[in-house]
Amino acid sequence: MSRKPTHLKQRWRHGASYLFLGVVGVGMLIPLLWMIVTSLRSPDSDIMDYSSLFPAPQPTLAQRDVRSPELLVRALVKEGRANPSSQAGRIWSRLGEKDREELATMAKTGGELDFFQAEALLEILNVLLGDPELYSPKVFPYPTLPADAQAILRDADAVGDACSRDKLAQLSKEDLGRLNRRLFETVFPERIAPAGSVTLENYKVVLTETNFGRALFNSVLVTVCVTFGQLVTSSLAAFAFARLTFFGRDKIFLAYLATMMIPVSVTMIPTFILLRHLGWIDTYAALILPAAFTVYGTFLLRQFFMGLPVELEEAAVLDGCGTLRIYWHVALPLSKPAMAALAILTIMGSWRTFMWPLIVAQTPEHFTLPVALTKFQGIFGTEWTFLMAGGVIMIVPMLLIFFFGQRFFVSGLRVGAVKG
Amino acid sequence: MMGRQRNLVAFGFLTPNFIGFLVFVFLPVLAAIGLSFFRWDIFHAPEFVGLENYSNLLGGYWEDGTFQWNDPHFWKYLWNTLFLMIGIPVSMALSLFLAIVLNQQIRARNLFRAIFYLPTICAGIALLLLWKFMFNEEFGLINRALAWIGVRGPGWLTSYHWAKPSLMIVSLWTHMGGSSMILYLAGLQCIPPELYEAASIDGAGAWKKFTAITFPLLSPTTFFIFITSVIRGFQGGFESAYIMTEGGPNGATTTIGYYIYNHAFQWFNMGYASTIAMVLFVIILTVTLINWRYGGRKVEYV
Repeated sequence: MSRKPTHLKQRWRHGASYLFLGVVGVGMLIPLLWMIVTSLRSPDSDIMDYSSLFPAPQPTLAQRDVRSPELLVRALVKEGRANPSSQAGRIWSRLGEKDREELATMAKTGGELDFFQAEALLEILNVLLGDPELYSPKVFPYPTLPADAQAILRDADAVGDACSRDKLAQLSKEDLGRLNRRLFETVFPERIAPAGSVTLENYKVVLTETNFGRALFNSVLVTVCVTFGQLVTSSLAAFAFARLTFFGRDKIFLAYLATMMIPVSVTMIPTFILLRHLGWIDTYAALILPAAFTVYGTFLLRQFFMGLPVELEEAAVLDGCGTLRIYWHVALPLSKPAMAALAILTIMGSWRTFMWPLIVAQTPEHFTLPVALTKFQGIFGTEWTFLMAGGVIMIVPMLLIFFFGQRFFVSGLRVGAVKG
Repeated sequence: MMGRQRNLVAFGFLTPNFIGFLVFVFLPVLAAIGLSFFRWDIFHAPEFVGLENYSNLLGGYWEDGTFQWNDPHFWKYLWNTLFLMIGIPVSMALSLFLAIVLNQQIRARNLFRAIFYLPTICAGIALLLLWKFMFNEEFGLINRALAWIGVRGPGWLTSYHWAKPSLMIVSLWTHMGGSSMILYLAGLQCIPPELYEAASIDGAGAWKKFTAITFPLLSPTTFFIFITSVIRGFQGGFESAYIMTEGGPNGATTTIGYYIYNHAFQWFNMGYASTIAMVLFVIILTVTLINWRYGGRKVEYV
């Protein structure tokens, strides 16, 4: 047998292995990367347009500048008077004398979107839509105004201005903000970042203008409490099962283990009813307590405690240690790796748990991250940039925990498995 | 220590866990068994109906010579649940293959392992939303990629035929590099290399080595992964259905788990929901008993 062909064959096989691993790896990474990229795109960029994904960032409008129409009016009056050749100036010159007066008064007085403000906004819209030169896709990256604005204007022609004014005033905060933003960007094209540039705005909006920040806090609180509870209760019980002798120990343990196969759907209905009777629905207690006990964790720690050397314990007894002190001063310090493994598994499980919080957390005050993220679908609809930013916020802590606790992670997984 | 005192000390250690177990597992199970004999919308007084829930769920009748189920939805959703489990063997095979490839002398093995494990770490609502976006008919990356090569992709999650495969793709992507792969890797590392050396001397090729050594020696791991996946599979499907498809289109992705949730917390049929949960319990109990009966026996030959 000559050596060379084997060598060559081996190299081929190696190459094929790397190719396969690389392809699978890229396949795993692409969706995650796309999530991050989407979360960094401007919320109003054309989601289909990737041509200008990473141009140099320019000063962008702050989201809060856009939420109130009054700022737009103020800027339009100022810029329109000062600089007639700008886009704002051209719009200003096309407005009627009366509208200009009204806008000028409005810019001085400010306040909520009232009758007159609505009318002024409508006027601006009219001017924009009536003049293709001002509203050309070349100047402005968006092909059309938002559908709701167009609908309002269509109605303005058919039913008269008063009706559409009411409609404008009745727009939800989000819709008004969106409409206003489009207007702002049309009037001041030089002040917006080009579509598709990288921006952290999604994160800012998600964290400040929704209850996501609160949900983040809730998730951290619930996860910490659940993890702490599980560590305490299961290490105590595991110590008893592994290290103490008492009546019917192994039978009780077996019965205990057997409950692991009970599906969650069986226990969740009565638990919900119980908590409802206690008046605990929509409280932290409902989120934390049912999750603070674990059979799996008890099993995992028991396996570990069983492997601890008996001599240490005997020595501690000779020194006059009671059972509690042996647990605290001997068993626990020795089982740090197992406790860490259980902690990591619990943190990751608790962080992503969805069904139970969905059932018992009924107001935004007690939403955890997964629930809040789900409710986003209702608020943001298909505004994927916000949704993806929320998703990234949810994922990052898990990645950190994983990378810092990696070595405990695998050992935790293996305890529950058959010895291969 | 006296025997009684010993019992007392042990009892003290067990109490915190036992209370939780009693309140959140043991009593609820009893209550669920009881509830399955009642009709109850939680707003009015519960009404005892005996076995009616069970006959409504599992029973049927003959009409014009054809058999009709009382609750055809249940059977459809049970079928959906089973159908989605087709992904389990596929996922396991891929996990095993990845593990075998990784178990060679590969540079950057840890890096690859970490990358494959990423979806498992991130798993949850965020990833389901991501995949909902990926599968979006208009904006989704998949259809954009398909359009690039001139194919018009379907509405993955909105088409009756594509919805289930789409969910299986998501689950495959999430799990194939996850714990099963890690368990397989651990199993592979426990196989003594002498076996392979001996096989090489006997002239065995790679495939022969796999069928004669690797696969039989890994069979306990395979069995463990399979049973736990099946148990999880019977209970699963709630999150993806809730987030991505709302059980649709036309019930194509509603699983038993989602059906129970809907009965209990959307329609407030606490009794009926408990009945379905009990049936699910019996199914899982059966799988577990099979596991106990056959899982204890080592299937390896060395």
